Amino acid sequence: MSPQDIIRTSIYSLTANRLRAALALLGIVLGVCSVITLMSIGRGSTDRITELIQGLGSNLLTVIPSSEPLTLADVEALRDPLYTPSIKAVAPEIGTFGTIHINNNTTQASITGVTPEYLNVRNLDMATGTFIGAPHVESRAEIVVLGAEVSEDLFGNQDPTGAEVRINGRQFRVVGVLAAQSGFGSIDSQALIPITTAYYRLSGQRIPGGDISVDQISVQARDVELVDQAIEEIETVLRLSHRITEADDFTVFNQQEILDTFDEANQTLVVFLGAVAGISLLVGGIGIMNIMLVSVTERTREIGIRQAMGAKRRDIVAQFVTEAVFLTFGGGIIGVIAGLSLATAIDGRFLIGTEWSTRVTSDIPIIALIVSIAVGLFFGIYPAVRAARLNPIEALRYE
Amino acid sequence: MRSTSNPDQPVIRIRDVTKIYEMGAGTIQVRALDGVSIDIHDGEYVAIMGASGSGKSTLMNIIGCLDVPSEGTYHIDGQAVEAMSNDRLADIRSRKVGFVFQTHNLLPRLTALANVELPMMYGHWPNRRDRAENALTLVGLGDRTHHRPTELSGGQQQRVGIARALVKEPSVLLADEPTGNLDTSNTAEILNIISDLNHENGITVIVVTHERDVAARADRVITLSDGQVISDEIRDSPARGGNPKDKGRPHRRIPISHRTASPLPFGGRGLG
Ligand SMILES: Nc1ncnc2c1ncn2[C@@H]1O[C@H](COP(=O)(O)OP(=O)(O)O)[C@@H](O)[C@H]1O
Ligand SMILES: [Mg+2]
Repeated sequence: MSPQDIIRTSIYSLTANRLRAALALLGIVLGVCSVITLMSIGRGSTDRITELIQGLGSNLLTVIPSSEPLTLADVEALRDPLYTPSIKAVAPEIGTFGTIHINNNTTQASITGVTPEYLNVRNLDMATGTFIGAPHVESRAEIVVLGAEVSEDLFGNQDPTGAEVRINGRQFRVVGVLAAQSGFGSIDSQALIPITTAYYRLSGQRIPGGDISVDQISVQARDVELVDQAIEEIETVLRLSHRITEADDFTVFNQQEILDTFDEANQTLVVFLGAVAGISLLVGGIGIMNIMLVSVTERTREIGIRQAMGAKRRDIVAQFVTEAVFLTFGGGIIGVIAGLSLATAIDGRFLIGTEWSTRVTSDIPIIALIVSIAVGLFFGIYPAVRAARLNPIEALRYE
Repeated sequence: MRSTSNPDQPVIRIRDVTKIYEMGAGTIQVRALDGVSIDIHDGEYVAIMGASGSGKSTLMNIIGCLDVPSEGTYHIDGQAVEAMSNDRLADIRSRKVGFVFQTHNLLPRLTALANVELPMMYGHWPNRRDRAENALTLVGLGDRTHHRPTELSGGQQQRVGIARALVKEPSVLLADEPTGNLDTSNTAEILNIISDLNHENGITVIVVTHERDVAARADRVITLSDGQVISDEIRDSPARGGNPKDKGRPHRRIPISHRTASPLPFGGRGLG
């Protein structure tokens, strides 16, 4: 039997029951569509995490207080190059929530008190205006730098520099807007003010004796290689200044480690999603097998006629396997189109509480099509062999 | 294709063939054929008669290589069938025998032409379309090539079945009650076509029937009863005359493709 004959015969058979063929196809369409979508999501979120690691800088460390507060005195101690030669910059911060008003517009934002170092340590860029300067910190100035989202909420597309806003009832002047960053833990929904302003004007708690306590300190190592050394230096300095002999009253986080953990979790998720998609494809394949088995039974007499006309077993096998592969390949093509459309549609959307990002690469549809052909071969072979093993006489007698 | 080396060699040579069907997981054995020996020579027109259940269809299936004997030997064109693999059997079915069924067994969604082309799909036949058209013309359906079986009468359907059986120029045309489902006039038409194929194109014909007048067309009648041959008469047909012993010899057989008067210009596939 020539390939053209096999293909023509398969098309002839498939068109005999279009509805059934379409339904069998649907299972594969859904399977392939979910494989494509989930693979794109997996690729997208891996990209996001990589981006985040690079954005944060892999040389970033975070110190947070545990039993004793961290203060600006600790920050000064960490800035001394004599004791901390591996540290490039130190940026303390105080976080609170607040309501920002302008005329009738109101928005909720996290208000973070920072120092000028914050801009570089956190790898931020200005969209317009200037960042908080040393004099602002010195004078506890009532000025604010808005995150992109906060700015948009309050001012729309207008440049807010120079405008007056009210934060928890106090008047602040906007000096600049940060460039949009997107991504998780984004700066876009924050408003930054001088750390001294945050402490004296907005925050309720103060340490008697007057030193400003901070919520966390970001420390930038001079180099990725120097991260471990920087951690040691931080520990030495803080232990000395806190006069610690036993357990530390602070914790140092390595940003890279945190992100590695995220990445690992993400990989697990990708594998899990892949498995779910794989199972749906498997279910689609079983659907194909089911349809093919029904088809073999229904067409027993046809098989008998073909055998009487001289069809060999391999001719019958080829015919039925080709039918199954046509179904899964057709389903694969539709599934690829649907999956690519879906992946593109959800990219950058905010759904079910998460912002999705997807990346479609050319290998994904190719893999999906190869897999769908393989599914057809795998699930088509058993019904086909059953067909080919029919006894011609019994097949011809079948009513 | 056809072995012409030994003119006395029968096309069909059946020796002590027994066919046993086991039923009920081997508890009941049915002897559908019981020690049958028959020789059929090239060009013969044989009718097989017998009561229902006497083993006619079983014999036909074995001759047509759809089934193999339980015991005994069967040679077609000198080749031993009982030792053949599935693929070899399919090959014999493809090249040496043409089947005509009682229920025509056409594929319902294919046109007459496609149905006739079907057997040529299983073998590398050139000019399939031309051959199929010629075969349909030969059975008088040259103008119905694009009709589906449901658009044809019972007699026409059976003629498509005959065209499908003879399109490959088989050594033997096997017809199992080909007129069983037909009325008198259609029966006559079909029998005329079969007789012509035998008389004019020299095709060996074996027809199973339980009707006397169908058997009357043949020049040899084999009667079965309970799986055994109870009579084997070679009749002297007035239409053909001569000594029936001389019939069926290859020198009498004129291949379809070599007959200039034949409406079947098959193009040199008949003899190697
Ligand atoms: N596949 C089968 N399984 C069991 N018994 C069978 C089978 N085919 C035929 N037989 C039996 O073999 C005997 C001969 O059948 P068959 O050749 O079909 O007879 P006929 O064609 O002369 O009517 C019958 O008794 C029938 O019941
Ligand atoms: Mg019968």
